Amino acid sequence: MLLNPFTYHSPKTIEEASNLFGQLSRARFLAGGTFLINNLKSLKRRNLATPDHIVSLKKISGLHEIKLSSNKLDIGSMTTLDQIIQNKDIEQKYPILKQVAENIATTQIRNMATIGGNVCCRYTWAEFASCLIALEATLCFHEKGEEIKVLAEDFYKNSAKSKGILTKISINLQENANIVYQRASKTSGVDVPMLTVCIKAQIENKKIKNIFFIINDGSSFSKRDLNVESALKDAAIQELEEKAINSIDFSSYALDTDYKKDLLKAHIKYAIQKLKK
Amino acid sequence: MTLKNKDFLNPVGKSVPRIDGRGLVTGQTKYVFDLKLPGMLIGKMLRSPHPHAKIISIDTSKAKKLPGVKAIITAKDTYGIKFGSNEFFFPQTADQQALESDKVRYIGDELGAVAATDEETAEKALKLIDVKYEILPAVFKMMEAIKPTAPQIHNARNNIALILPTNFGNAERALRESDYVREDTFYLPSAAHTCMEPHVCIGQFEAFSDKITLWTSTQAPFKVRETLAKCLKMNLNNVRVIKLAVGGGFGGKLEMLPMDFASCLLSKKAGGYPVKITYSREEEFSFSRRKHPMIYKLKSGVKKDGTLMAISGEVYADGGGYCSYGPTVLAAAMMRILLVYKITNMKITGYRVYTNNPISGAIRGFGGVQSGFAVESHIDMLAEGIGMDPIEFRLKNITTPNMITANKMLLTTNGLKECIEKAAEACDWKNKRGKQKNIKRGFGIGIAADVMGSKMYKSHESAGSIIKIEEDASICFLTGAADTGQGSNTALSQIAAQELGVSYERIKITSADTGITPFDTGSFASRVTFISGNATKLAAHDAKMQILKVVSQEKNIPINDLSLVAEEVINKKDSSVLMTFEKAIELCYSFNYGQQIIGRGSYNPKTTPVDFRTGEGNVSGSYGFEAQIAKVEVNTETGEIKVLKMWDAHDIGKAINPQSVRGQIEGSLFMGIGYTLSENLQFKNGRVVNANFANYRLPRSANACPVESILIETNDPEGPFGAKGMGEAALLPTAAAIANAVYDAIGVRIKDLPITPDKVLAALKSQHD
Amino acid sequence: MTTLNINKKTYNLDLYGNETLLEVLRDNLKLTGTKTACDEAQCGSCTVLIDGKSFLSCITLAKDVEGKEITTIEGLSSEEDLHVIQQAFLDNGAVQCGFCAPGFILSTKALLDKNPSPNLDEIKKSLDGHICRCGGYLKIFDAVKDASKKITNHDT
Repeated sequence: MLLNPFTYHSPKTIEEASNLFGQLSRARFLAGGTFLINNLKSLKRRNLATPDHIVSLKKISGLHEIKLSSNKLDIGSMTTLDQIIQNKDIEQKYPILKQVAENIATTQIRNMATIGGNVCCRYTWAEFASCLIALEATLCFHEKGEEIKVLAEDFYKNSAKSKGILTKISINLQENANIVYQRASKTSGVDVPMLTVCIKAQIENKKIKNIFFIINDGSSFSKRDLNVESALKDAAIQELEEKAINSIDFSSYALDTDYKKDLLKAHIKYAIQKLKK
Repeated sequence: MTLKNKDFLNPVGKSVPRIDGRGLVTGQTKYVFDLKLPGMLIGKMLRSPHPHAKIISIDTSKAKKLPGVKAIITAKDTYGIKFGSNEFFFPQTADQQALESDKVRYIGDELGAVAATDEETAEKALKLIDVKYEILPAVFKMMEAIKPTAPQIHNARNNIALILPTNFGNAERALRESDYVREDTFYLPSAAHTCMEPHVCIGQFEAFSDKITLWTSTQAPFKVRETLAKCLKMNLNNVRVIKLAVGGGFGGKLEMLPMDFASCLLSKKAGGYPVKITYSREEEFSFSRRKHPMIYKLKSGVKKDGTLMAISGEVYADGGGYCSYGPTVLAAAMMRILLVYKITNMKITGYRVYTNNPISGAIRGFGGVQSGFAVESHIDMLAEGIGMDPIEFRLKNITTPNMITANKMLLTTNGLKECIEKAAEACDWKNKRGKQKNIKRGFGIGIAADVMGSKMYKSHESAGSIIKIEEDASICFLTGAADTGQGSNTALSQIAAQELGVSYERIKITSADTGITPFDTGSFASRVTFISGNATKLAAHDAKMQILKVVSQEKNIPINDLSLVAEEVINKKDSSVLMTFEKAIELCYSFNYGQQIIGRGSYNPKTTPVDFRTGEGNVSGSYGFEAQIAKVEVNTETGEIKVLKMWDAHDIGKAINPQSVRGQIEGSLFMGIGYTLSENLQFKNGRVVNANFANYRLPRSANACPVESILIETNDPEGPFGAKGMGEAALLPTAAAIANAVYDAIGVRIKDLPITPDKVLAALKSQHD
Repeated sequence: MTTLNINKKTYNLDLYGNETLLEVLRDNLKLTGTKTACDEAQCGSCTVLIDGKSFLSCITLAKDVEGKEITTIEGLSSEEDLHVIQQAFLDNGAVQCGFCAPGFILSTKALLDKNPSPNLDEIKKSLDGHICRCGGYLKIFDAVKDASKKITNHDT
């Protein structure tokens, strides 16, 4: 047996899942499984305690859907990354989601992993955080029979902690905003990113309006850099790179080497170049 | 039998499909990894958690009582015999016991093993074994280990297991006479083999029949048998080592590991039931074998006209806790220089150092990879020092065909010049290098020579083959050579068919089973096509002569007038077809003759003994050569290096199966790219810290760059149908080709691998300061 | 009782519930074509197709795929004939030691079923979950292109 013994549960509704989880002790939810199963193996190898119950969310109806209306997008939490990549509406209206999804891990992982798992996994380098903050997404949780809504930005400020079960992610269409995403992997090819830069801005009369400037340094959850945002407010397009790099407080990020600082500078530059296009 | 495919006649030189391919693509072929036997138990090794400690006591009593535990062994159950894979020429390197009795010398060192009904019970039992250690101070850095104050790991003074000195001509005087002299030090990291199939074995020891059967994932079943028999004090004919399909070896499966020994002894103690031991991927990274990290110091001189005057230096190789193939790795790291450059003055001393790190052993390229990077980068810098084009400089100083090197290696066919010229031509070196508008692109060259087998393991290095022709004219071909994916089963079958004069379709091969096939030293040093190929050719010739003798008798035609080609027995005098091959076999088995056709061949390459006090000796029957050119693009903002294309021109004598040859070149080259740009097996206090694929970065499909491989056929007179071996060489020049290309692109020299983006940026910065 | 549909056959298995699909395939059902080269979801050798998409069976719970159509390498060929992709791998020298081959072949099937004429970048991307240590990928790309040609020619 590769994994320590546990009882497998497969609820059909979100209420059932929530009640079950409340009743069972030492239970974990299973979404796509791309993090959990390896973790269970690792815990066993290191002789640490493993959960007694695994509650699979796979059979719950209604969590796998992508619903698009004229000005809103709802993505079910169990939607796989592959579903996001293949969805034509997302490609057209919210292309940033596709861009982020298609660079995560490998093909097989993208077929299995869920956006919900990526949001709730509490790994600081998990990549949807940045673009969900930029999109001003709302995360909907089912907690004790209630629906609780949390702004993505607040969720990540709170270290991605939640009490309920994530059911869907709601995003309002932002008409004139450009969102760009830049990731630096540790080595070329498939890899977890070392750092990422995500910028959302509206450009009017060659000037920046409503900028979100989100940096993820791999060690902390994605967050907006308010220094950069205020420096870039109303800035002209040609000044963006210089202003952005000059206004960053490198010491507020886990950039312990010159290399990482240089890398961040380079990727900020690339992100801004993308934005200009 | 009905022959289906005309293309399979005269198969040498054709890319015929892999003889064992259908089973592989359907998942039907069983590896030892897949094998389950009746009554099989699961074994686990008891390992030291300390890098250096005395074993005070081992108490197995609690573990023995655990239900499901069938056997436990420690050193006291063994004869305590020491072995070392290079012990024939270097007796002092027999420093390892199958299960250590007195001391443990690296984290993971084996001192016992358990067999139980299932994996979980075996693991529980391991935890119940109470070992008392006296922890000793440990040393992890080579240059610390050689100090007189360092902890003593074995009995070797200053922890130096072996010194290999070379001193040809007068290097000091030649350096004095040089117009330009430079000194450089290069740092080579460790690396892992990462075979897809981990180490795995099943041992069965039926004590009352005095019989051992060991199924193991290995490149060298006869080597495993030899060591196993030695440690168990058994006759070779009572130990049968069977190789099934192997999921990659790359040098990591060239010798007996304690797991092989343990599985057999556990089986004996458990009443003869088979015991299977499988390494997890973490064990594979941490406790099998690794590449020797090296410090390579070079000081060389050239004259203004481009004459390479002398190469001198020192090589330090970090061997870890035991010797394994250390001596041959070190020797190979030094001797290849003389295969490539025609110098008479060389003084390099090599030191293989013990440290309390995991064992460094053989890995594809055998030290030639490390030396390839160091020497070829250094050579490039020498060329630059006198303002000469790197290719022009190489051409001026390389070895030639039919010459004897300073250390008495006999080079016969030598396509190095052609390799360099063809590679340069293919990439348009003259016009493209240094002239690209985009200054971030560069071209670099690396060249290398490879040995085809080398008698550094025992007195002989022979290979043997048997060809048995059945009554229906189908053929059973038995050879000792071990196919670990490189395609030797296929290539040797092609050679057999070609020499015999029959279709490749007739051949069914059984290889590398010590109970059935003749001896073969194993798959390493690119030796199989050359050495095992010659043995096969001899066996096929022998079988052919047996057939023709019968035909000669029957037809009353002198045997010298007969030949067997493309399925037909021919009378050479008038080119008439006397009969088909099938009819000839029918004749052999007919009433009047009843002659079984069993062809045999044994081949030992013509070499001279190497004197390891001086480094002199013709170590191989043939040598292969190649040149590699890399085109790279460097992003000076992120430091990222992208290999855009690689050209590889390879003197392989003759390509028995061109597709297999190219497959080996590409695979080897990508391993080289991995070592150059991203692979780095890292240690902290003797423990591997990146023991998984997430953190040990291999090249993946996204990194794959186009490779143009140019095959140069110099038709070696000694090789079967002119073939030399190949398999490793494409790994040797890669690091330097890329490093030299990086230099060409951005004017930065990086002397330690892997060349990662942070090093590139740091080097660029220091250039500006 | 767990019912699994593997290679168009139905298996009723008495499982504890904590088994990975890979374990069930190799240990319970003796389908050893699917390999365990790393057991940490990095190498792709455990790849199977689930409803036509490539999945890593080493991180899939067997109970989670009840009711799905599972295809392993053993389900690709008929009794005697190789699938066109398997033949293409052989014809193009894409198989050396063979340990990674079943995974690559199944991922190729998933790719060509969805996109019968992929370009090189699409091929590289769809095979990014596999490691090959022997061969260096290039001949695998050739095999995929070759299979693609044969499949699209056959259909037109």
